[in-house]
Amino acid sequence: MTAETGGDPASGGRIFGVGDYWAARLTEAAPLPAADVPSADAFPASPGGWDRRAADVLALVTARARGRRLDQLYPVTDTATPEGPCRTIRSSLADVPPATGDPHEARRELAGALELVWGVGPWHAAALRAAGTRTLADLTHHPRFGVEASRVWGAVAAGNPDAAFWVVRHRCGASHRLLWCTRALFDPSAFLFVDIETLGFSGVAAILIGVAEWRDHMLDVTQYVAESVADEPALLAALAQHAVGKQALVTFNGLAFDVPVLAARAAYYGMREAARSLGALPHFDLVHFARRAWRHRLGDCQAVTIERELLGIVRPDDLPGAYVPPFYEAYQQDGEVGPLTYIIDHNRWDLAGLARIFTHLTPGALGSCDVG
Amino acid sequence: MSVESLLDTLTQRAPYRDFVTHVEERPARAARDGRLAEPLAPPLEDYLARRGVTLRVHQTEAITAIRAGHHVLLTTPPASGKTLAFNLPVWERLLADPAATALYLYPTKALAQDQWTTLADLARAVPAAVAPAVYDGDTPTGRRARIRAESRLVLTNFYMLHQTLAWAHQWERFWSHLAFVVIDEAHVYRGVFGSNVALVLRRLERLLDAVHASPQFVLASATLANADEFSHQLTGVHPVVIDEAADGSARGRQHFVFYNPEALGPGVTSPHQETARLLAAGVEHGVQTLAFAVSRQLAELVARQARDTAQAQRAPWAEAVAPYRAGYLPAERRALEGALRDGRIRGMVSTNALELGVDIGSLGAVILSGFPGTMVSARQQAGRAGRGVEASLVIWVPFADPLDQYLARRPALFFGRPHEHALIDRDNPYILSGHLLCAAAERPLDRESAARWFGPEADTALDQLQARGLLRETPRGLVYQARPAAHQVVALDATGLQPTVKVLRDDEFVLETMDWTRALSEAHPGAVLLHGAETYVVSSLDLTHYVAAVKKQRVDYWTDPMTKVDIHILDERAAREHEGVRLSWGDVEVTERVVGFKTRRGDEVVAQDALDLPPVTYRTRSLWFTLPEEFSRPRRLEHANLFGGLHGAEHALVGLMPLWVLCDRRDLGALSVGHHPDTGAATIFVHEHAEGGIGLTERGFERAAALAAATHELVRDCPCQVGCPSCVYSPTCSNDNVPMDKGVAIDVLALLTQLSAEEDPSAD
Ligand SMILES: [Zn+2]
Ligand SMILES: [Zn+2]
Repeated sequence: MTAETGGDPASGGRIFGVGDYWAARLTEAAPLPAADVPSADAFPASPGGWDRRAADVLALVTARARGRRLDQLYPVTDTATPEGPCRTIRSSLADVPPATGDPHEARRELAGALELVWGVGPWHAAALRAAGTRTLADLTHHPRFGVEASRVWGAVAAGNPDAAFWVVRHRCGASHRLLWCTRALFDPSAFLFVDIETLGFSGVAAILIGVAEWRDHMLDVTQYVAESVADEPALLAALAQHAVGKQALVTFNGLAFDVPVLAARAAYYGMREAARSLGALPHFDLVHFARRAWRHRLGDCQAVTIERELLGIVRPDDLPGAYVPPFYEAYQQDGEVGPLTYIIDHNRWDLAGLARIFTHLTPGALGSCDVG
Repeated sequence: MSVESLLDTLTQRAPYRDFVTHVEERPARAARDGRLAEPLAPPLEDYLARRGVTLRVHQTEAITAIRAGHHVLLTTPPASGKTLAFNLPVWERLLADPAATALYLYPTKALAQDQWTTLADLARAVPAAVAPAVYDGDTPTGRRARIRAESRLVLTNFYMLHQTLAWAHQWERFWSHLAFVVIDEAHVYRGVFGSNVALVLRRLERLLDAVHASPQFVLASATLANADEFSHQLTGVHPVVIDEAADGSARGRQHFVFYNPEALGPGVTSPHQETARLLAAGVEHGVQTLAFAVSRQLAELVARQARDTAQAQRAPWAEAVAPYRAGYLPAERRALEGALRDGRIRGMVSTNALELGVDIGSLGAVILSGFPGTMVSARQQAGRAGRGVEASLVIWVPFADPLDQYLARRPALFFGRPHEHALIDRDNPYILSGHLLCAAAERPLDRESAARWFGPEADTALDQLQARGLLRETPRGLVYQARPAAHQVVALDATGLQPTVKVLRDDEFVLETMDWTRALSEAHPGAVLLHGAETYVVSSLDLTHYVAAVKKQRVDYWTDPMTKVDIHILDERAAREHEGVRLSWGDVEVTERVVGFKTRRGDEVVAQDALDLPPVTYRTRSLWFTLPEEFSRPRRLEHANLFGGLHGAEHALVGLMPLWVLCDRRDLGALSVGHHPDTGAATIFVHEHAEGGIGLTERGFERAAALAAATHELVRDCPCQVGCPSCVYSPTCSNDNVPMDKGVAIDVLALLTQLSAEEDPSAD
């Protein structure tokens, strides 16, 4: 006889603890930063200075705010968005007043940049100048370059900073002195400084979106904070709302990081408008200008290095960006806000540094203007 | 002159004729032209006319089916023009709809590159902006944005697709207009890799669904016993199958010779020596000959032996023989392929690297040195013989191995209808849960859509991932909230992610990397490691930092690990019993521990050392046979007999299982015990190596009667006295095939064959 026991071979019940399995794999792949925390004498409150491992630092910052709520430490409000309320922290900095350069001088320099016209190289430009063609306006009568020169001159002369930006951006790239000149054409209040904190580079969540803008000689900082990943759509919506009316973005490495990541996150949630909104704005990514200006002097052109070496600013109590993901995870695990406060403060330092570097950088630092 | 005279030599002259045990002749066949109800778009008709191509009946059938909007699977033989059959209707659509796009997927970068050449040629012939482009790990970053923006036909591989899905918004144009997904060489997507690929495709399909795209699937594959089931498992659709029966391509006469080195008794000659001799004979007869070897080392060895033979005879063609394998630089390989195509190379020995797609033209003769493991591969390799309608010759040289010798004695099985099942298991918990993480990171995942795309097991897996905090419930669905990106930790060729061990030479230079399990058995302290043609001796294995330190050292010995395996039964999920013999299938926990190693010089064991290494434990699936006490008790009295019999039966069963279930012998492990604590009886386990299992033993359970019968026949009919590598001996046995008792093994297998003939009427 033949006996049948057991069930249908295809039935369920084979899941052997896959949650633990993947949690372990992910932890292996993304451990706490193993190296000692760098930079010498910041974080003065930590006994033993920086000579400690990430886990110790984490324990320390957690202990400092144990049992506190976020709204006991910061002025927290809710911003209404179509995606629900978004936790918001506002602050103002008085020591970073607007300084965007002289628009007249910028316009003069652009007007003389014959190289902005397609086909005009350094050799042509020199020859044209020698023959008395000094400005784009002069060049509009040229038999060969006239048509294109009219288009460029129209964009530069019209007093429309957006048009001037794109003409220069397409012709000269993201780090050119002439592109930097166009910043002076914008009203200081039209800039939106953006810096985001995420759990990594791709396929992971954004957990804090910080923006800053000049208003009445003050730098107003607004930070949209996710109390969990579930808040991410509200963060993205809040940013989209905040960007309405702004004419230009300022970031540090935002062309490669912040903007594509935000677009990817918005697309992830199917927020099509939000996914596109930032990409269309003129965008001054300071990392490109900074590299061109200071690469030889500084070697590494990280924002913190520029602040320390060129602006003489040392951030007290700041953590390297690599600590953001594990700190946020720690906050998620037990709800202790200590680690989160360090992310918030770190982001605020980044935004202030961004504005400081912006005001410090002059066209002169970017060298002469060869195109292409 | 040549092929026929080579055949005469083999069948009539010594020493060859003594080894020829079977000659099968496939007659020549005329082409059968096909007709299309509507001609192709004019540029495509022109393209064919310029090349003088006439469409055969299987091609027009494929075109008609694809035009009608069906999913299609083509399984006609190699060189029957499958690629053209799907390219024409795909391009017809791209011409008719200027927004439509197509995705072509290949198993390797090299194949995609190869096919791109053909497609770029087609692109030049038609007045449409298609811009076929390869998009893979080698595509320069600077060109990627443009391909995403402009190309309408992208060739890639599954590794790349797996990485790319997280950036779907950059591909919105391409995905939302996707009309075709073409999957070439689909039969390679089986086992662990295939199960991963099936889930990558589900992720793709889910994202496509969100942009309202539902492409047609077009698959090309080798012949399989379960073509429809396999296609459905892989893609989720049931295709129209256009198979061998529809094949209208012209074919020359083909002679298929079984050349068995074992024919005169065990150990008379070696298959490698005979392969080299046959290769030399082919070249001497003016027949361009390609030999397939089962490993890189054997490819080099056979090529060298053939050359040596030629040089000894001062034959002029010594230099026209070359080896070919993966691992050569691309330029080297291109040069060899070219030399083979234009006839400068007369004899080549290759690994299976030349089995897939790569264009080398067709040859007068092909030698299969050893059974390549599957009938699918055997057919692909044999398909390299036959230039147009000229006669061709295939010579198979079986090894002294159960599977080889079983088939060598059964030409009817070898040439009969396909019997191999390609298996995909989307429900493996580790594979499934990894892809659920990826899916949730690509687009918030709701439970309903998870069940739709990832099956009924998804729900439980999601519960666990959520409970562990990796996913979070939000109003939009489950969102990935861990790091790093899910696709960075989910590997397509593994069920999970084992620690990787670095093999360091002289404390700094990374020689290679291997997974943890392999490192324990091959890179333990004292192990001799082969890399390239050099030998290295392992001085230490660091268990916390996963580093094996080696020193280059020329040694004339090698080492074999001794592994102790324990199996604990977790859950018997199904069972059949007949007169006290019980066959079960279910979940087990396997513990493997490398307890020592043997040092061998030649065939002699010169030393035996103990090791203290941590065990590796994993959960997987197994089938097991339990024998009744009435059978065991009398044989247990002479202790070694029962053990030896179980041991021999175990070896032979594992050896033959790939005949029904497409897998590598290494995908399976086995254990036989005279008394197992969980069953309380003599037990033979055949278990899977992949964590969680991938359906191999499940199918083995279904086909157990056929498996037992075939194995019994094999061992019973083997002419050896006390057992040999063709029946009960296993070259990989960590107990050196001790104890062994062929007679009792036959008794054991005879007992297993009684396990219900009434089960499973579809048994082959
Ligand atoms: Zn034998
Ligand atoms: Zn064994």
